[in-house]
Amino acid sequence: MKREQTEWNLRDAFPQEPQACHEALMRAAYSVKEEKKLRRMTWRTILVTVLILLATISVALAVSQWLGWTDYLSKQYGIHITESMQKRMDATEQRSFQVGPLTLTLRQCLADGRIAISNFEASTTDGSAALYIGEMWAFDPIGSMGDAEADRLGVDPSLSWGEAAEKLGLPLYNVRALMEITSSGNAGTSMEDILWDHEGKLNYLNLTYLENTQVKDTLPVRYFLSVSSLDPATGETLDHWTVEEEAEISVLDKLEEKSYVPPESTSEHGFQIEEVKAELFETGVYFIAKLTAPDGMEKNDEAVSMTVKDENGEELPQGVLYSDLNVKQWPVIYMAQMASLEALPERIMLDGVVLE
Amino acid sequence: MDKNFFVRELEAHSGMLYRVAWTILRNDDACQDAMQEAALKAWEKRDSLREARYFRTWITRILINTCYDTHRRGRRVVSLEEVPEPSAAPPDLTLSLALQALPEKLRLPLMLCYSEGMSYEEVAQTLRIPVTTVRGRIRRAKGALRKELNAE
Repeated sequence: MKREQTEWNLRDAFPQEPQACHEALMRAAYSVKEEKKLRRMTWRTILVTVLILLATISVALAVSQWLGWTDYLSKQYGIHITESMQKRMDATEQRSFQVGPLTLTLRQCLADGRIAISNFEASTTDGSAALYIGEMWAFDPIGSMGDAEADRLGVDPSLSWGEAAEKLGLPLYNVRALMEITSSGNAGTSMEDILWDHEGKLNYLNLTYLENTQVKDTLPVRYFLSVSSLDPATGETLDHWTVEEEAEISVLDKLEEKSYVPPESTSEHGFQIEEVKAELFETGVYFIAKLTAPDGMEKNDEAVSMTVKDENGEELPQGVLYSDLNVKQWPVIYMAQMASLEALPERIMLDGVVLE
Repeated sequence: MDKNFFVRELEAHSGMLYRVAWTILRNDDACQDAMQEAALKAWEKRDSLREARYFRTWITRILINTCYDTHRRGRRVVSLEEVPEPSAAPPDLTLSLALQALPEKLRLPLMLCYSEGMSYEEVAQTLRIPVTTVRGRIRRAKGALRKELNAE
């Protein structure tokens, strides 16, 4: 897939590799011996404490409640959603789907025209114990489940999920639970992540960016729910179940809109601020700005390193959607930014200019 | 995988491995230890490399695990508040500090993609996350990096 260009040379963010590091690496490389290959199983006897960068996090709550977007966003990114958004998510009509031996329950779901999010909770239908994962490489021999889950299960954190399931005598299920956007409203970018609650139930989070001009009052979606039963010893898929269901979800209404009066003079860095408007949803406020770069400025969005701030120049509380910059029509620049605000600010600051 | 191939590939990827380790550990001594340990671990687990063409993502994943192991053992842990000066300053210290201020979930995919030239698929394979998640995190990372640079 072709990658878009970036404005920075990230290589410049790193010091030159020290000679000592290179020499240490090569000393280790030259020191290895080509002995008889280790049997795949022998690594289990090696006490290797390895932490893996997980695509998932585990969060244990003191109270019995399922986890969701609030926990994920606050613990991972320090983002605190609006109360209105929380209420909307809490009001999600709960729907359960039977997928093989598991019940997947839609716990949270909403769309506001620019993002669509869902959270499915997975557990066995009969309430029996099991291990649930959302990973692609559950049996990677260098992988591990991480400290929090290992503590909860009472196993060594160096074990893979497969090994833990085998040791504990539990079935192992790989889950994927998506709310796919099937219309032209899909902007083509999405993310998935998982959480485990203190009982080990898996919460599968899915967020999709929407093309707001293509989204109407309702949004066609497809729930794609997949469960695989894995053999803990070999990693082979023992059985696989899929449920797909077309549905339609309501899109939150825009509550209010405000256009800020553009300044006559240019901003601090010479940009002509053509238009700034703010749209209020229960999920927060979206700021959409159109600017024109000054003559002579190269097409380089490093130069547009700005964000909408409050009138005093302080950062606004980060919203679910990070700021997005579009310089494809340079020198015209389109900027979108979300803030976790319950109301439209009377005044804002953009590149040193106060607008109201 | 034979030893010649192993040595040759590590030689070729040494710079990348240092930058990945530095992204997590931010200390040259810790990077040195992690790179050395990762090389030895990789050789032990060489059977897990299914195809030679995946060496880069495979060794990167092993190194990332090793770096986090270093964190977990509390060895040469460096907090964000006390980032030590590296033995040689990066060419763009402002960019470096801004990158280091990003959450780890965003910092790593961004540097693997835009510093090391990995494709989204390779980043997904290295970090064991879906490609769509890679795309979303990089998008988020770029926004966060802009914000950090703006705050400088």
